Amino acid sequence: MQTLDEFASMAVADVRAEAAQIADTEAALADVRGEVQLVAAAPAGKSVARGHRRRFLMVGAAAAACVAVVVTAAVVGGDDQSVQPAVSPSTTEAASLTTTTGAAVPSMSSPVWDEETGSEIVFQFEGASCSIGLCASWEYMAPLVTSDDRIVIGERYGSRWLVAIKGEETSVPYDQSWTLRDAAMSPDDTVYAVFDVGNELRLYRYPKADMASPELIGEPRAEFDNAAVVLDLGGAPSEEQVEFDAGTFIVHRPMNLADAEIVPGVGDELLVDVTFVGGSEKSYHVHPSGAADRAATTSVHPLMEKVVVILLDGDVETFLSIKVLLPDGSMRERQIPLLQTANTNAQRFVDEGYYYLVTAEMTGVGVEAKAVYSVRRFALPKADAPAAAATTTLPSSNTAVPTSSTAVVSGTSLVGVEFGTAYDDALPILTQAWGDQSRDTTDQYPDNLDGRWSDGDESFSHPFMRQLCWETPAFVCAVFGGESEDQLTLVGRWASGGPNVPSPVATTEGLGIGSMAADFGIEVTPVPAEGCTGLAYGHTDDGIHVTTTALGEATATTPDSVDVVIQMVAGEPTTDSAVEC
Amino acid sequence: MEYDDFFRAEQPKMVALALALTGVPEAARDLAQESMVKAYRAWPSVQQMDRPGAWLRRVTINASMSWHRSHRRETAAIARMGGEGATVQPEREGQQFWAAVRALPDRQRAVVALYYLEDQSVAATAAALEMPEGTVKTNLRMARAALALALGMSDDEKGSD
Repeated sequence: MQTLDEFASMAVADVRAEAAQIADTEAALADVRGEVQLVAAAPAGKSVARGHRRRFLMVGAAAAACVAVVVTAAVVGGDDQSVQPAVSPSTTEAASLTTTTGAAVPSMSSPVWDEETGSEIVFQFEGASCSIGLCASWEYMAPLVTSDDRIVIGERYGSRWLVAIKGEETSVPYDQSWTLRDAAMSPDDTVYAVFDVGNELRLYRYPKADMASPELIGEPRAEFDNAAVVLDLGGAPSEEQVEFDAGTFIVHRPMNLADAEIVPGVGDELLVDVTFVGGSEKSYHVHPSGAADRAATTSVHPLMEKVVVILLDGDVETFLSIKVLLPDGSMRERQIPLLQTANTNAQRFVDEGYYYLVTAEMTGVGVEAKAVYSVRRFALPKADAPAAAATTTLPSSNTAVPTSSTAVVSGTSLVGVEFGTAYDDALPILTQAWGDQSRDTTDQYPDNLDGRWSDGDESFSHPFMRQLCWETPAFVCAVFGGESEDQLTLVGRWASGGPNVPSPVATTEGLGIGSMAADFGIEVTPVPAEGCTGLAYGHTDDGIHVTTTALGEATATTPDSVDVVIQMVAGEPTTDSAVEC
Repeated sequence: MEYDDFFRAEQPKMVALALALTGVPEAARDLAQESMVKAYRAWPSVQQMDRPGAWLRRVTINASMSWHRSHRRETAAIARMGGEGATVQPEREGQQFWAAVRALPDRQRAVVALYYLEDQSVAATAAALEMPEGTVKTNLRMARAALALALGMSDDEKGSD
C-alpha cells in the first residue's frame, strides 16, 4: 500500500509544477511596483489606507452582543427625548454612560479626540502582541462589554480570554486544544461561546461573564466550517432553548425587551406583530427579497428596548438582509455582506445620542504587531434636526471645515467657473484657488459609440480629456473635454477625501467633504452587496453626486445618519474619481 | 537583501502554498501577490526580521484560509440551490491530497502545508508558525491520521524530524 508520505511527495511535486506555470514572477514583480506607486498617489478617500485591505467582515460571528446592530439616531432620539448634544473635543472628563440594556461603557480620564475618524476614543488599551499573519488568521474576537464595566475578548491564538477593566488586564486560559469559533453576550452578561474540540462543536455558557466557569450546553455537534452562535432575545419560549442548524447555535433567551410574533402572510410576506416595552403595539408587513423558504430562518431580535430587528438569510449566504422595525412605525433595510475581516472585529451600539464602536484590531507588522482594543464614540445628529433643503441656512455642525482654499461648487460649476468654460479661461481661476496642480493627466477616446467616446474600456463625453487635480490634502479635480486637445472646456469636477479632512470645496449650503449626508437632506442608497461594501450614493437637488461611507468603518453596518460624504462629483467623472472598495 | 531578490525567491513558493491551500490557480496567484505587496509596503520592517520568509508564509496562509472559508460558504450555498459552481471533484491524485488537506481544521492545515510543501522539519515548522514544537507534532499527528483515513492509506511516519 502506498504510504501517506509517498502520496504527499507526489502531490507536492504536482502543485509545485502547476505553481511554476502560473507564477509569472517577473510580471508579478512589475505589478507590485506599479500597484504600490499608484496607491501612494491615490486620493485620500480610497480605502486602501492603513496598509492593508479590508477584504471581509463577518457579521453575526465573532462576538456580536445582540446580533442586530443597525439602529438610527433618529429612532433613538424619537423615542427618548433626552438625547444629549455632541460632546466637544475639549471635554476633559468623559462620564461613564449606561446603555438602556445595562451595558456600561468603560471610560478613560481624558478621552482622546481622533481627527481621522472624528471620534472620541473613550477607552483604549493594547493587548498581547503576536506576529501578524498567523494571529490575524485566528483574529481577536470583537470585545464584549459587560454591565459592570468589563471588556471580555476571546483570543484564539493564545487560547485564552482577556478580561480588562479600567485598563487592568487579566488572562483566563482555556484548553489549548480547543479553538474558539464565536461568542456572543446577552444583556444579562451571559456569554455564549462555541468551541471546536477535536472534530466537534461545543456550546458553553458563562453566567455573569465568569470566563473561568464554562458550562457545557447540550450535546456536542459535528464540526462545521462556519460555526457561530446567534442570540434570539425576543418572545417565547420562557426559558433558554438552543437550536443547532448547519453550524449555528441559536440560543433563544427571552429577555422581555419586546415581544414579536411572526406569522407567514401571503406569498413571501411576513406579518410581524410587535409589542414594545411601554405597551405600544405595531404590525408590520415585511417582504423578504429572495427565496420564500428563507422565512424559516427569520429570527427576531429586540435591541435596546427601542427597536426590533428581523434577520433574514441571504440567497447565497453572502449577505444578511436586516430590516429594522422602529417604534415610530418606519422600517429601514440594509444588506450587510457576510465577509470576514482579517484584522479587525467590531461591535456597535447606539445610546443616548452617541454611536459606539468597540473594536479589536491588529496593528503594526511583524514583531511590532499588537492588538489594540478601543471603545470610540461618535456624536450623532440630534433626532429633531430638520432635513435641510438646498436653500436652508447652515446647520450648526457637520458642515465642511472651512479653510482659506475652500471653493464654492454647484452642480454645474467649480470655483465659479461654469461648465463649458474654455481651458485657458478656467486655469487662472483654478490656480488662484489652489495654486499649481499636483497632477495633470490626459487621455483619448477614439471610438464614437452612440454619442459617447470610448477607448475600448472606458467612455467619456469627448474624444480628448484633460484632468487637473490639486491635493489639499483632499483631492479636487477639474475635468476638461473637447474635440481636440486645443478645444477643451470644463465638463466636470470632483472632490474626494476622508472624514474630517479639510474640504477643498463646499456648496453655498455648506455641503463638503466630511459633511453628514443627513444634515443636507440627502437620501443615500447603499451600493449593492455584490459591489462595494460600506459605500452609499446620493445626490443633491442640483445634481451633485455624493458618495458616503459609514463613519469610522469601511464596511457599512452603521446607522444611516452617520454616513459622511467622502466624494462629490458633478458633470463628467473620470476613472480616477471611482472610490475603491 | 533587496526586495526584488526576495520576491524572485519567495513568490513562486507563495503561489504554490496558496495553490495548495485554495485549489484555485487564479486565487493562488492573487493571494500570493497580495502577500508580496504587503511585504513590499512593509519592507523596511520585514527586511529587518530574523525570518522574513516565515512572516511571509504566515501572511499567505492567513489570506488563503480566509479565502477558502469565504469560498466554501458560497460554493455550498450554490450547490444547495442546485446551481453550477458546486464542489469540483479533483481530477489528479495530487489534487486529491490537497483537497483532503483543505478539509482539515485551520491549524492542522497550516502545519501540513508547511511540513510537506516546504519540506520543513517539525522544528522549522514550529519556528515558522511560532508554535511550540509539541503543538506542531500534535497537529501533524492528527492531520496525518485524518489524511490517511480520507485517502485510504498507511500512515507511516516521515523519516527525519
